[in-house]
Amino acid sequence: MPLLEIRGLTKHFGGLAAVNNLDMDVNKSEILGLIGPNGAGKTTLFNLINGFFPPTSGETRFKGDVISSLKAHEIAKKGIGRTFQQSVLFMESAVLENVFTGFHLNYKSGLLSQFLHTREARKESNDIRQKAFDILEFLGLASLKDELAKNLPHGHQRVLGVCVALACNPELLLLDEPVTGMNPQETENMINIIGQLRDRGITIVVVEHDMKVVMSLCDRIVVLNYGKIISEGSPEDIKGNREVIEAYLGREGAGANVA
Amino acid sequence: MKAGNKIPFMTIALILLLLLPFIIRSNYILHLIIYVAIYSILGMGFSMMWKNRLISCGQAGFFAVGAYTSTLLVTRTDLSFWWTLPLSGIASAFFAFIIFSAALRAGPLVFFGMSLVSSFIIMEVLGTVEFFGGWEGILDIPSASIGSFFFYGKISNYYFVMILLILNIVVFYALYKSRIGRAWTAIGSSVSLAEAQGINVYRYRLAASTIACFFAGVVGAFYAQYQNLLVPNSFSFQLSIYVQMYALLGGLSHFIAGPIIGAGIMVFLPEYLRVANEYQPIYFSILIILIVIFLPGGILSIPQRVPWLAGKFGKKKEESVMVNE
Ligand SMILES: Nc1ncnc2c1ncn2[C@@H]1O[C@H](COP(=O)(O)OP(=O)(O)OP(=O)(O)O)[C@@H](O)[C@H]1O
Ligand SMILES: [Mg+2]
Repeated sequence: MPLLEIRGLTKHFGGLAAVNNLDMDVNKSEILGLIGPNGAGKTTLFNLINGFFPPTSGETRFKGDVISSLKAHEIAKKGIGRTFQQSVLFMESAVLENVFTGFHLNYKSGLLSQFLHTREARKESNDIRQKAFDILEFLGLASLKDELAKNLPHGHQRVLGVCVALACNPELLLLDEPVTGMNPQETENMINIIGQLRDRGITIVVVEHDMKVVMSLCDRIVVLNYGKIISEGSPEDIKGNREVIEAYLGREGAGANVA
Repeated sequence: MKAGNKIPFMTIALILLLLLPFIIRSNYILHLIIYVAIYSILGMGFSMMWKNRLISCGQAGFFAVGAYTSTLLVTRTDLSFWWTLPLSGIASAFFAFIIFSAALRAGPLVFFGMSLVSSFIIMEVLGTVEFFGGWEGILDIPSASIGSFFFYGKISNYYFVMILLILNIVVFYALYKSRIGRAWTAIGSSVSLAEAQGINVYRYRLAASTIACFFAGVVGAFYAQYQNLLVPNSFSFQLSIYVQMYALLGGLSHFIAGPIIGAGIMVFLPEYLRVANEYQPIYFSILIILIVIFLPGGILSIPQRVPWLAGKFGKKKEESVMVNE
């Protein structure tokens, strides 16, 4: 059984079908690349999967359970994490605090003991703070833990976004353009991180315009245009696909990189 | 401030509060301080909602619900005032829960609208429905009492309201320090990210509104027995706006100290500047406009501004270094 099953998923914005009767599977432990020209519906698809928008029609199942009727916070609880195309962080908070806050779902102690700051509650808080620090260490941000998120350089903000998403213990992680605006070194670092996450058993769907990254990172690629899948296959298959090249050339010259 | 520095500071503040009536020895000033405490509690409630990026224009209404609940129970039943004190809070919280559980489903804008409308409706109902005493209000409300001791004077009421204020501060502080407070901060910072991390934004916002209105109701009960009379017009929309101004003036990112400082300044400054009552709204408006333009972080942001002030007076170099970064 695929980890995520998408069936007939459709989202209309007024007259525009941003996602149009889409069928797609995400298999456990794969890195799936989602590519397509601007406005193809990639971000909208993420917003549908993680529950920001209710679909106009269609269904998504995660580990066999229908999740398309759930709210975003419930879907997070099921084990789907995401990052955002723009760096969305708790900008006024420190780096460690960002991840710590992201751990919202991990508390076992009740609200009352939290409120009364009982010993268990404090211990739990400390444990979670430690876990938050471990994530920062794992992704190489530990030395910046006390910086305010808004003061980080762009590349570090993107990494912090991944750290925060990891705090809800996702089995499936949706990354929306993780290396956009990064310099080659930062990009390299992010590619490593994504590989390591997969090695830890996290399934990853990544939207990315940078073809080099997509080709080197992904096990499988799905190409979206006008909310529909126009092609699907291994990086090699996609490289040689005429339709894909045209979809890119039709919109932007940079797409020529595909070939 | 580190936790270690806080404890001696708190002790001194507490002792000062305890001795204040004997230092001041002016009934009028004590009366003003009592008002500062009432407004502070209302303002902290506003701030708790603001922490969730909700703007309430209805704190006067929930204050009124508390005041009238207590008064009606005390005058029409033989319930002791001390029972009505928590009951007023519960009544007000219940009211808030009903209204906002519907409004919040539709989002913060509808919350804003509903808080405004409910405040108007509450005042209208209190004024027009005979049961609530009409526009002339309710007179001769008994003061609270313990045995044969009555909370008549300023001093006893000063201590009474200070206990409420401190209770309010302690509860809010504990909430803000807990994961509930962290969830609120997250919501205030980015609703989408909060949701994506599993925070039930609707529920946390509803909790904040309900808790805030609980305390508004409790202090309403205090107010009724302190004033010994209730008039619907004293719970007008203007009061709700003033409550917002206290929070804004003190500093919107200081959820506890902000409203207290703001209320203190707005109550005491006109006294010392001898602003006539009828000119007060104008004076407040000008004050707020100046704050918004020159000190958007409120009075409590002044310390953070000091480096900037220093930069103005001859430390130009450091400033330019900061810009280059
Ligand atoms: N909230 C919304 N309301 C209305 N239209 C929307 C909304 N979100 C997306 N759209 C529209 O849906 C279409 C798909 O947008 P989407 O953001 O999913 O594209 P994308 O593939 O992520 O593009 P990009 O590569 O530029 O990020 C676009 O035409 C966009 O204008
Ligand atoms: Mg996008």
